Amino acid sequence: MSTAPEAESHQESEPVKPPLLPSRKKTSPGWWKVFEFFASFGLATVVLFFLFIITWVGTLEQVENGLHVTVREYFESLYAVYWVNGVIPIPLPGGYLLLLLLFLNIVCGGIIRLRKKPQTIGILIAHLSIAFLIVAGAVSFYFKKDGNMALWPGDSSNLFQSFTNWVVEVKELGTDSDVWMIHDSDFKDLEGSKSRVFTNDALPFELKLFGYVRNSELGVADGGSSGGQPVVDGFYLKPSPAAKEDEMNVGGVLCEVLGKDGSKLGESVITFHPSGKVFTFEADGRKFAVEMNRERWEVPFTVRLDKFVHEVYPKTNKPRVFRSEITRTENGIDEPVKISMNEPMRYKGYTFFQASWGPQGAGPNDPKFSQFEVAKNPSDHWPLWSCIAAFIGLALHFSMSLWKFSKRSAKKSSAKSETAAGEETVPPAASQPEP
Amino acid sequence: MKYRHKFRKSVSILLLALVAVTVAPVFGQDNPEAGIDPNLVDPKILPAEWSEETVRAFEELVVQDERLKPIASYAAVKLLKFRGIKGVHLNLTDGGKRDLTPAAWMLDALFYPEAACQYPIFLVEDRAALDVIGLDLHKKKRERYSFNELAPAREKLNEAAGRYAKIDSKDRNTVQSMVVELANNIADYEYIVRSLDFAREGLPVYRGEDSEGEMERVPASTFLREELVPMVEAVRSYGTIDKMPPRLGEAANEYLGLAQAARGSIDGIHFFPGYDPNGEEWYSCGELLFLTMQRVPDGAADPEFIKHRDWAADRLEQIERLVAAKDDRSEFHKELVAFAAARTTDMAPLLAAAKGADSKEWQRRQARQFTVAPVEVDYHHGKYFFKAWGIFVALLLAIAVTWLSPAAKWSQRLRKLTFFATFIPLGLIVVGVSYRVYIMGRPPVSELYETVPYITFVVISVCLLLDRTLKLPVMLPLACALGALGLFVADKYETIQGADTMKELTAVLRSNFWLTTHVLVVLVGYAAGILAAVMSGIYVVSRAFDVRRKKSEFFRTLSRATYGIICFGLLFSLVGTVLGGIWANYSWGRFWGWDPKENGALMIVLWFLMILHARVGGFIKEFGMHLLSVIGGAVVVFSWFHTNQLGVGLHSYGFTSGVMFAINLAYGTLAALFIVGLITSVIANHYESEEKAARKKARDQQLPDGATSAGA
Repeated sequence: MSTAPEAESHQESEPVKPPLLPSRKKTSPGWWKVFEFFASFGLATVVLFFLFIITWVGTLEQVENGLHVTVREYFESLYAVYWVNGVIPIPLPGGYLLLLLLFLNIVCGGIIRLRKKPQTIGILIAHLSIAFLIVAGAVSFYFKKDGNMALWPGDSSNLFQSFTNWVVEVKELGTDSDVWMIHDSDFKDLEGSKSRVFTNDALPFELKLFGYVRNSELGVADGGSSGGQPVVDGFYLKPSPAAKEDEMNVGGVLCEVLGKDGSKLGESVITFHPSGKVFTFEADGRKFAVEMNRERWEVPFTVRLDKFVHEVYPKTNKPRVFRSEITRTENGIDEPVKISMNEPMRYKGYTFFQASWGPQGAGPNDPKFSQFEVAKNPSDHWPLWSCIAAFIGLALHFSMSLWKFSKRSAKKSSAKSETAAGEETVPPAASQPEP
Repeated sequence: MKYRHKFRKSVSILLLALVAVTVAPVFGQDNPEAGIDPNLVDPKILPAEWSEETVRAFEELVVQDERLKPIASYAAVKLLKFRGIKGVHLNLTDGGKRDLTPAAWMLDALFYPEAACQYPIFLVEDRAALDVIGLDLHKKKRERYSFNELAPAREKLNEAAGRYAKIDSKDRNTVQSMVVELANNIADYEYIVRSLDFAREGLPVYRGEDSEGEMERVPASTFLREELVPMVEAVRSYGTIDKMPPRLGEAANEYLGLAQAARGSIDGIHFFPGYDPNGEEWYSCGELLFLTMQRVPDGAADPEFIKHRDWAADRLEQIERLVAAKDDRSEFHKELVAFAAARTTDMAPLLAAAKGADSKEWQRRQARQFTVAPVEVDYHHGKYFFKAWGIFVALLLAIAVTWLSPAAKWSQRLRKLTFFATFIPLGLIVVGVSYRVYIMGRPPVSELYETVPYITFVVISVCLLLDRTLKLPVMLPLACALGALGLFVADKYETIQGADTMKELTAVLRSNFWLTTHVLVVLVGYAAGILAAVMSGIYVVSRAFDVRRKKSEFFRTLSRATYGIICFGLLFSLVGTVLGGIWANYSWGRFWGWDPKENGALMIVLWFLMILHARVGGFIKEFGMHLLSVIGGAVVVFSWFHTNQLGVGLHSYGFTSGVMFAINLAYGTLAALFIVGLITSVIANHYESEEKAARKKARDQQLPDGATSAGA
C-alpha cells in the first residue's frame, strides 16, 4: 500500500523531458549523428557551463587588464587562455565559438527537434527568443556603428567618430576627391618588422605601412637611441604601456610612400599624437596628405549644441542632470530637441545618447562641452522583442507545468484522503490483527 | 519515524546554530557596553536631559546634506559612522545609565561639547590601531573611546593616516584602514563640536591704536553688523594679515579660524536656506561668516551688501540665542521652535515656487523633502526592520520549541500560530520599505542596501507560499531564519557603509520606470537563487544525517520545490537581465557592455539554464541538482555583492573590507555545504548500488535456473 504512491511520486520528482522527435539510432546516417550532437542536451550543458566560466573569468580579468582587452580576449574570440597566477595556462573556448554552438544547439535541439505540441509551445517560444537574441547580438556586432560626437555650445557637426578604431586617411590636397581610408583592422597586426603594401588604382603611388604601436608617444631620434624602434625622418614611435581602456591609447604606424615604379617618394611617422604632424608628399605632380584619425561616419543631418546643462547635487560632485539642448538641421529645416540621460534622440536610424561632458576637472561655472554617444544599430529594438517573447514563453511553460503539478497533487491528496476515510470506516473488529 | 526524528533533531540543531549566529553579534551590538564598557562617565559633567518635545523639535529640523533631510537622519548617520550604532549608551560612575538618541547626542555635541567629548564615541575594532599611534589605554581589543582619550595622539594619528591614505584602499591592511577611518571620524567630529564655537566665544574686536590695544569679544551677529567692515578694510589696507599690528592680526586670524571651524569643510551642518531664493545651496554658520566677509565692498557702502550682511547676522543671532538659552530648557525649547519656524519662513518662497506651473525639478524635490522631514523622523523611530528582525528571531525560537514534541496538540497550535504571526514581521518590512518609497519618492530599490530587505521579503513570501502549498515543514522555520538573517545582513551592511542609505541618485539611475522593471525583476531572480541554495543546503545536510533514505517524501518534495524555484528564478533572472540590457541600450546605446554587474546577472541565468538542461538531459540526478544549486548560491553572492567590490565597471562602489569578509564567509559556508554534499552523494551512491545489487540477486534467486534478470 505504501510502495505504489512512492513509486508514483518518485516519477514526479524527475523533471519531465521535453518531447523530442524520435531518435534514429538503428539507421542513423552520418548527418543525423551530427544533427543529434548539435541538438543534444549534453552540448547545451557543456556550452552553458563554459559560457558561465568565461563570463566569470572575463569579469575577474577586467580588474587587471581592463574592459576592452578582456572583451577581445574572452568574448570576441574563438578561444582564450586563462593563466592561473600567470604560470599555468588553461585553454578555454571563446565567446564566438560558444555563442555559435549555442545558437546551433538551440536551432537543432530547441526548435527543430522539439516535438511541436501544445505542451511545448512555451519552450519553443523561449528557444526562438534566445536564438533571436543571439542573432540580434551578431547583427549588432557586425553592423552597428557607434562612436562619439563632442560639441561645445554653439558648435555644430554631422560627423561622429569611433571610440577605438583608427584609420589612416589619404587625401589629395586642393581637390574634393574621395578620401582613401585604410582601416586599422588591416594594419593592427603590423608590429615590429611586419609590413604590408596598400594600393589604390586611382592613386599614382603605393603605401607601405609597418611598425604599428598600439599606444605610443612620438620620439625624436636626434642621434640618440630609439630603443630598437625604426626611425623615419628623424622620428620614431616610442611604445608606452597600453592603457586598460582602449580609447585612451594613442596608436601610431610608420609609412613609406612608393611610386608605381617602386621608387621611394617619402616616409613618415603617422600618429594621432598631438605632437604628430600631417605627412604631405608629392606624386605624379599631385600633392597628398596622410594622417591618422579615429574612424568617422557621417549622419544625414547636422546637430548644433545650443545649451548644455550640467547640474550636480548641492555641495557634491554627484551628477543630477546632464542635458543638451540641440538644434537638428535637415534640408534647411531646424528642429529643437533635448537630449538627456535616459532620453536619447532617435532619428533616421541614428540614436544620440547623452554620454559625458568635458573637459575633465571643469568647475561648476566653467565652460563645458557635451559628449554624445552616437549609434546606428539595425538590431536596436530586437532585444526588447526577444525579452518579451522569452517572458511569454517561459511564463507559459512554467505556468503550465505548475498547473499540471497542482492538478496531480490535488488528485494525489484526494486519493490519500479517500484511503484515509476508507480506513476509518473499517469496523474495529476487522482491523484487529489476527492472533 | 526514525528518520523523522533524526530530521527534526538535525533541523533543531541547524535552527539553534542559526539563532546563535544571528542573535549573538546583534545583542552584542545593541548593548555593547553592558558589563564590558570601562568608559564610565561622571554624571556631574552631564547636561540635564532634554525633554522629549525638544528632542522631537530638533529631530525635525531640516538640514542639507546632499539632500534635505531631518537632522535626526544626519545625526544617525554620523553616529553609525563613529560608533557603529545609531545611539549612545552611557554608563555613569554612580551606577546609573543614560541612553541618548542620535538627535539628543547631537544636541549635547553642539551645545555641551565639553561633556560630549567625554562620551565613548569612537569605535576601534582592534586595539592594534592605537598601538600604531602609541596610545595604550589598557582597554579591551574592541572598544569605544571618547574624543578626550584620543586627543593626545591626534598629531600621530593624522601623520599615520596621511601615510596610509596613500596606499590604495584595496591594498591596506585592517589596521591601516582603521587608522585612516579613525582619523577621518575624529576630524568630522571636531567640526561638529566646534561648529557653534563662534556663538559661545564671540568674536574678537581690537579697540586700540597700537599693538598694545584692548581686545574684547562681541557676539558674532554684532561683529558682522558693526565690526566686519572695519576689520576687512584694515586687512586690505595692510595687504595681508601678517603685516598687520599683532593684536589686529590676531583678531582677524581668530575670525577666520572660527569661520573655518563653523564651516567644517564639506561636513558642516547646513542649517540655512540660501540668501538667494533661486539658489539651491544651503549654508552653514561658517559659510555665512565667510560669504559675508567676501562680499565686503571696496569703498562706499553697498545697500545690497548691507541687506546680505543683516540677513546673515539675523541667522547667526538665532543660533546665539539658542546657545544662550541652553541651560534653561523651556527657554531653549521656545528658541528652537522659533528657529525651526524661521526656516519654514525662509523656505516659503521656494515652497510657493515649487507649486507653480513653471517650477524647476530641484525646487519640487526640495519642497517635498522639506515637508516630508517629520515622516522621515517617524521612520527612524519606527525601527521597522529591527523590530521585524526581533520578531523573526522570536518566531524561530517558538518553532524550535515545537520540535520538542511535534505530535502534541499544543505544538501544532503553536506552529499554526507561528505561521500567521510571520505576517507581522513581513508586514513590518513592507511598512519600512513603504516609508522609504514615500520619503524618497522613488521605487523600493535604488541602491545596494535596499536590495537586502526587498530580497528578504521575496524569499519569506515564497517560503510561506511553499509551506502552505507543499506542506513542507521546513519552510516556516526557514522563512523565519532567512528573515532574521536577511535583516541582520541589512543592518550590518548599513553599519559597515556608515553612510546615508537614502541617497540622491546619479543622473543615469534617475528613471523610475527602469528602476521598477529591471531592478525589481532581476532581484526576484537573486532571491530565487538564494532560496534554492539554502533549500539545497538543507537537503544536503539532511541527507548527510540520513544517507540511505533517498525515496523519502520529504526529500522528494524538497527536490521538487527546489527545482520549481530554479525554474521561477530563471524566468525572473533572464527577463530582468535582458531588461537591464535594454535599459543600457536606451540610456547609453549599448545592450551589453560586459560590466561586472551585468556579467553577474548573466552568470546566474547561465547557471540556472545549465542546471535545468543537465537535469532534463539526465546528466545530473536529484543530488547533483542540489550540489549545483548550492554553487548557484555562491554565484548569486558574487553577482549581488562581490561585483561591486571589484573596483571596475559602472556599479563599483569602492572596496569595503567588512563587506569582503562577509562575502568570503558566504563562499566558505557554501563551499563547506558543497563538500559535505559531495561526500554524502558518493556514500549514497555506494549504498544505492549495493541495494541494487542485492535486489538483482534476490530476483535472480527467484527466477528458474538458467534465466537471468536481464533476460527476464
